[in-house]
Order: sequence, then C-alpha cells, then structure tokens
Amino acid sequence: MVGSGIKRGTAELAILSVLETGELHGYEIARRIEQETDGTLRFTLASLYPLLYRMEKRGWVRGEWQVGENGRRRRRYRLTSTGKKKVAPMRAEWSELFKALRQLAKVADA
Amino acid sequence: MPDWEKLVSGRLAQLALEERERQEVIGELAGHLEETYEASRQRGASHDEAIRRALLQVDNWNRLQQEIYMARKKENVMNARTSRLWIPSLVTLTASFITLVGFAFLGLKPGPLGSRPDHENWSGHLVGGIITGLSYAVNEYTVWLLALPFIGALGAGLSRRAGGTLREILISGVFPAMAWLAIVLVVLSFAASLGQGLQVVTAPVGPVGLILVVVVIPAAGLLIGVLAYSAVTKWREKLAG
Repeated sequence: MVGSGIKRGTAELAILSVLETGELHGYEIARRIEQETDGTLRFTLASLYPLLYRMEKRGWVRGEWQVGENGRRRRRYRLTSTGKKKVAPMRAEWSELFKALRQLAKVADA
Repeated sequence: MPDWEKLVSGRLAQLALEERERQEVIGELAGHLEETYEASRQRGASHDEAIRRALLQVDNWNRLQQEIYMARKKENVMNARTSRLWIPSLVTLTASFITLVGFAFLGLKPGPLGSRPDHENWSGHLVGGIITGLSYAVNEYTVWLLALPFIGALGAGLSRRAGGTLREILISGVFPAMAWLAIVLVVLSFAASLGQGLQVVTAPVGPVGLILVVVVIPAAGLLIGVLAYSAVTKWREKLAG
C-alpha cells in the first residue's frame, strides 16, 4: 500500500487518467481507480470530492447532472480541454520521479 | 434503505455555500454513500454492516465540510490549520482578556460570594497557597470565571465549524490558560533568578496558588465550555440522524 503523501500527489493524475476513458460519476471514478490499480490507490468519499471540486474549479474537469438508466440523478464528470492538456505533462513528471526513485533504489541495492 | 440525503444534510449542516450549491453537494455525496451501501449489500453484507461500511467513507465530517467549502469557495485563501486552530485560539484569548479587563473596569466582583482573603503570606505553604488561591479567585474573578465556559465554547465552536480535529477543538477552547501558563512560567523563572523576587511576585498566594488562580481554575472553566459545546453538538447530530 502506498503512503498517503504519495497518494495525494498522484491522486489528480489518477482522476484525470480514468476520465480520459470517458465520463464517470464520483463513485465510478473511485471504483475504477481502485480496480485499475489493484487496490493500491483507494479513494473514499472524503478524499475524492474535495479533490474533484478543486479540479473543477481549476477548470480541469466539469461536472453535469444527468439522469441514469435507473432513473437516478448523478453528477458525471468529464475532462475539459484544459484538463486534457494537463495529463501528458503530469504523466511525464511522475514518470521522471519514479525513474529517479528506481535509480536510487538500484544504488541502495548495489 | 437509509435516507442518505437527510444524513448528509445533517452532517454538513454548517456547510456555508449558497443553498442551491449546498443541495447539489449533499445530493452528490448522498448518491455516493447510497452506491457504497448497495455494493456492500450485493456482496452479501447485512443492512447494518452495509451502513457501517458506507459511513466509513468519512472519518471526520467537519473536516470534510471545511475541505469542500475551501475547494468550492476559497481554495488556498487560508491555511486550514490557521482556520481550525490559530484563529479560534486567538479569538478565545482575546475574548478572555477583554472580559477580564472589562469586568474589572465595570467593578463586577461577587461581593456576597466571599470575603476578600486576608493577605497573610502563604507563599511557603502548599495547602495554604491552594486555599488562599481559591479564595482569591472566588473573590476577585467569580464573574469572569462564570464567563469562561462561554468563551471556551466559542473557541470550540469556531474550531469545529472550521473542521477542527478533537485535539484542535480542545486546544482552541483552553488556549488562554495555556498562554497564561507560559507567561507565569516565564515570570516565575525570572523572579526565581532574583533571589527574593519569587516571594514578592507570588505573594500572597505563593507559586502554587498563583498557578491555581491564573491557570488551573480558568482552564477548568474553559474546559467546561468545550465539553458542554461538544455534548450539545453531538446531541444535535444525533437528532439530525
């Protein structure tokens, strides 16, 4: 399990990544991230929504109320063009960080 | 099936957003809890267990309330710790100081509650210092002491409303006593370094009596306010479901 500090840093990228695949509502975002990371990243309601609202305020995602097939109203989020532009640089940044950490780990193992 | 909207609405009763926006947040969070509950039920959990699992999604509703408010209204405007701890603490300290000076200025002393202690010097006696200290506090500060629970409750309320943890709420409520303790310790240390200074500074109650009058008794008054406020808010939450 990854610690909470790293999780906070990766959380935005995780949300942006799953929203790249299409519109999702909050519960689906949390479930999809958990499934796709084999449970390493988990969002609770308390950790997800403040982050989603901040991202929405920055214009990275946009939420809209929709009525689903079961008749329930859910607020579905989608990436905005600003959000789409964020994904690639964030991935590059994190990739660089993980590469550096792997190198450090190799040095430590040697 | 629980009424999730009612539950979330009760827990986020002090979410200071416009009503329409507040209702949207409540509806969205309620939907999330509902789906968490249903997923647990589908995996075979009992009704009670599914509710318990859904409620585990939030460990501190006050903090969530504050974080949502910050995210939607004033992200990064104020450091969360400042709003949860330092501002309530400073308000409590200021309120306690203003009431102390104000009551003294207005001459609000208890009179009938006790006679002014004789100024026999108890500096060297532990029990005598405590008795004199209590007597001194009752005579000089009764009205102020009666106001302290309200001030403690004010600090606790401000901290809780800002999403403070139990520790932050407690510290915010009793902060004035902590500040006075720090001041008394500095003064006593300085006085002790001056030979007879300690006896002069702490007369007539002695060091123990002084700490009792200035720190312990006010701290107890403030703490009563914090505990009373916590009890009332818990009761209100329970009523709200």
